[in-house]
Amino acid sequence: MRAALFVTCMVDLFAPEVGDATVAVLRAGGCDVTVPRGQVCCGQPAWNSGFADDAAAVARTSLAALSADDAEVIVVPAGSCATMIRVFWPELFEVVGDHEAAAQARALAGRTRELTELLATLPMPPLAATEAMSVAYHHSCHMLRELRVEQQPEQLLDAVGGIERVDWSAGQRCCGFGGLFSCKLPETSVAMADDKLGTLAEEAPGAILVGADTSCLMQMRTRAEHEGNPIVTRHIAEVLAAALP
Amino acid sequence: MSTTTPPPAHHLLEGTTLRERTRDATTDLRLRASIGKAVVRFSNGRVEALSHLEDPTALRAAARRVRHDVLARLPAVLDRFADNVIANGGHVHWARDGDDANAYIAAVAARIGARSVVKGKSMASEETALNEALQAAGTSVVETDLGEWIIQLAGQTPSHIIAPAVHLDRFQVRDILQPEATDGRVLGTEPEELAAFAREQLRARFLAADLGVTGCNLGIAETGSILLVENEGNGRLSTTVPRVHVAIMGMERLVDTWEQADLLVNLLARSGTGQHLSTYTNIITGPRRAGEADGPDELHVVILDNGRSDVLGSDLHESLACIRCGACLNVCPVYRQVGGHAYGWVYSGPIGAVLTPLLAGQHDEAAELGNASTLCGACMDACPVMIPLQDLLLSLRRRKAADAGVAERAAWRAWSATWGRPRTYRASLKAATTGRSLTGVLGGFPGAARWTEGRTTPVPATRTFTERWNHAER
Amino acid sequence: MTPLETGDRAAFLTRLRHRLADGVPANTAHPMGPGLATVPVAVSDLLAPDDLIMSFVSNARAARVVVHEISGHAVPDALIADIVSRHRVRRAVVTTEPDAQAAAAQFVAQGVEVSALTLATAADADLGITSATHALATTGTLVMSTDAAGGRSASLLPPVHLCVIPASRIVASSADVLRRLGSPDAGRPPSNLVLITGPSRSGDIEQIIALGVHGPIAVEVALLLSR
Repeated sequence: MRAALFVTCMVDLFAPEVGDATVAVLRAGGCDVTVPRGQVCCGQPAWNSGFADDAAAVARTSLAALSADDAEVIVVPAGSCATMIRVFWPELFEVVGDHEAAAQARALAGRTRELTELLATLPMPPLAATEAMSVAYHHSCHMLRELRVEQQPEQLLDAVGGIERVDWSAGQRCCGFGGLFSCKLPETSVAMADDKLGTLAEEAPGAILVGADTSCLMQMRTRAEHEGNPIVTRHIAEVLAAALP
Repeated sequence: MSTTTPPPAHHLLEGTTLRERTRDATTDLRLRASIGKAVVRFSNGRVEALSHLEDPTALRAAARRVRHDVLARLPAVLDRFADNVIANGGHVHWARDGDDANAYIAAVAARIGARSVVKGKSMASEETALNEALQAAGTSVVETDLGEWIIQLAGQTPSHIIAPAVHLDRFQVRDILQPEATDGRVLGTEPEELAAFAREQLRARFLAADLGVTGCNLGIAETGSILLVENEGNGRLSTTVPRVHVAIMGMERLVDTWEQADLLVNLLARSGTGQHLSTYTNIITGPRRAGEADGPDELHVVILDNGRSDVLGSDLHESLACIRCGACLNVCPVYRQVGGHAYGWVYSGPIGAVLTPLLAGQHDEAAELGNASTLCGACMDACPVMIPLQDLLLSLRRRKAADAGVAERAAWRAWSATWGRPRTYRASLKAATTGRSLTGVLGGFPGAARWTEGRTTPVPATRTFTERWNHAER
Repeated sequence: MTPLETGDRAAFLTRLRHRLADGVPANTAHPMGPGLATVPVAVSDLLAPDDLIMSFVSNARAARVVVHEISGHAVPDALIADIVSRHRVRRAVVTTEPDAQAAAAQFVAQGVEVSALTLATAADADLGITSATHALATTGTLVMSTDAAGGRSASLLPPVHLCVIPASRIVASSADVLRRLGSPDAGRPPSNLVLITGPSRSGDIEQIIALGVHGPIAVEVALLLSR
């Protein structure tokens, strides 16, 4: 299967190693990975701030780049950006009156997959962590509630030898990122992160915090760093890639 | 109860910003402890209650459709409702706005010579600030829902749609109620003791009251009935003991048929408090009839617009489907940290963030309430009528963006001009990786500098993924 | 007073019609489901459809109702005496329902002063004696109608409410009562129909349930199994 990677601005700029890991696990699952040229951001920052025209200007560029690629599947290593493409692009283009782009977005939505959603359907080789570790999984909101990708990341982690996934009562609660929410209401945003991190420290001290969205992980990591909390965060692609044979 | 009790602060919005209010709330650890405990109980209760139903998701989807169908035909359903209320011997008043509703109720109170009014819980009357209006006209008003009574005595607004005093702990409640114990007794802090004290104090007020004012959970058009749900019995007392009963109904709180009402009643308590049914589901069809032992001689239904008609048919139309169960507050991660008062008006949580700009638009400060959300979507998942609150919040943000200042608009225009073209997008990322600094990239987002308040600064990689990939391909 | 309509209905509704003239915008991201042929009934696993009595008893008890299962045709005098003594009943009010009246006579025989229902007698009573038109098995609910009872406050003002009801009046759920209110042969609903599920309660202070906040602190049901 050929999988075209939508890198996302967060991975491209802040976490290229997540991109590398994504490619590695996709290849291990039998995918031929390409990175369509001309892709930019999905437009989510402007869309979530109410600036639909600016969001559309950016999204249209990525839509064109992805639509031009005839890969069977577009894969996105971020639940939030995958949601933007699949759920909100059609709405975004309708809102700005670009019905042609909306139709194109609907067609693209049908072959767009969040990374773990796709991996769960691939014939993965047996995975084993190089050293035993315990992990706690953070469900990012859009991935969980818009894409309904809930079981797949946990099942992928559970299939890795040497990894013990702990239950986390706040695993499905928002981390407080919310895009520019984090900057508009910073005190509330960090209170939400503290709430989430606090439950983890109580319930599973020492567990590695794993997620499928670089943005959520950045929110929790930078808050933890600021507070001197030594918690380690990892993108799920990195955890899986490190366990490849 | 004296009329010198401070009126509820209905104007917390004025002169404050959402950030100021939420920042203050996050520093109030006592508040956060009270709220945190409450929302966990409520939301666990909801999950447990719904788990007993066969296909609750299908029921919620049906309830969404029921609300949609009623709202799409609202004029005809209201017409039928009003005809039947009148046929049952009730009075109907069509109130354009809150002042109109308050004036009508004050006139009823004046006509019957009412000296004291007892109120059942009504969010609509919070919205119209009815208590202040009646007290200004010289009529004493006592809230009789325990939580509402507590906040009335404290001079506060409700901090939760169904649990108005949820922000207070038992010690605070004791301190608020203590001055009411005029016989010198010292109140304890056990909730049961405080509730018994409220029963004793308020029973006398009920028996002396001339007028009962309540809200209305649902109007049912086909029989002209109104339906109120509650647990304490104060709503039943308010509609049974005084000789006149006035119900204030938001014009959208309506269904056409009893089939529809039955479905909504079955979802309302389960979603709100986690009960299978509320203790009392009180259905009123006209005033007391000949030969009956009790009940009011007059029933008035005030049908309130107060800005709702501006929402009807708009991109925020579906906010009118709300049945005020409070489930969205209980699952909201923002509400969980800041409680209800930070929203600044009568309604709080996700639905409050939507309703406040729509219904309290006279306050300029209301418009930014759409920002009080991470768009996490927990609200729609909990909503018994599946209101897509995240979409409504986005609509509000678009409305606000349309009024944005030049600088904010220019910043987004510059961002989209740069990030909308592959060449300039790549150059922007390249600059960030080279300088290992975000100033050139995220400096463009209005307010992005506030990231570092409470968090470390994320540093860009030395090379983007795309550069590495292109290099490897070559 | 003759019913009055005030305010401007025509203007009020015209404004709404105008607002709806172009329909309601569709939601692209989270589309509305299809239209409903029928409004579904909420079905709970707390109902055992082939044992309404058992379901009612267990769900009422879960709602903190004290249920007495009675095999004979009438409430045993011993139970009446027990209620009088536990709740220190000196005065009671009774509705016009025959089952309530029959129990009331037994209370009188045990020295309780029983009055016909008025607001004043109910406010002064230690006990309200009623029957119910239905009971709902799924939720353990009693359904009280002013058409049957002649008033509202017997189940509201006294601190204790006793409801005497034949088991044959137990139906599955609220749907069996509420949906019938709209049927063409149902006639006008009573001036007051109230579904009572347990004693009065409040969770307004720290969500700790306090009973008897405004309504009865205790609800007892004498369930006549043979009728």
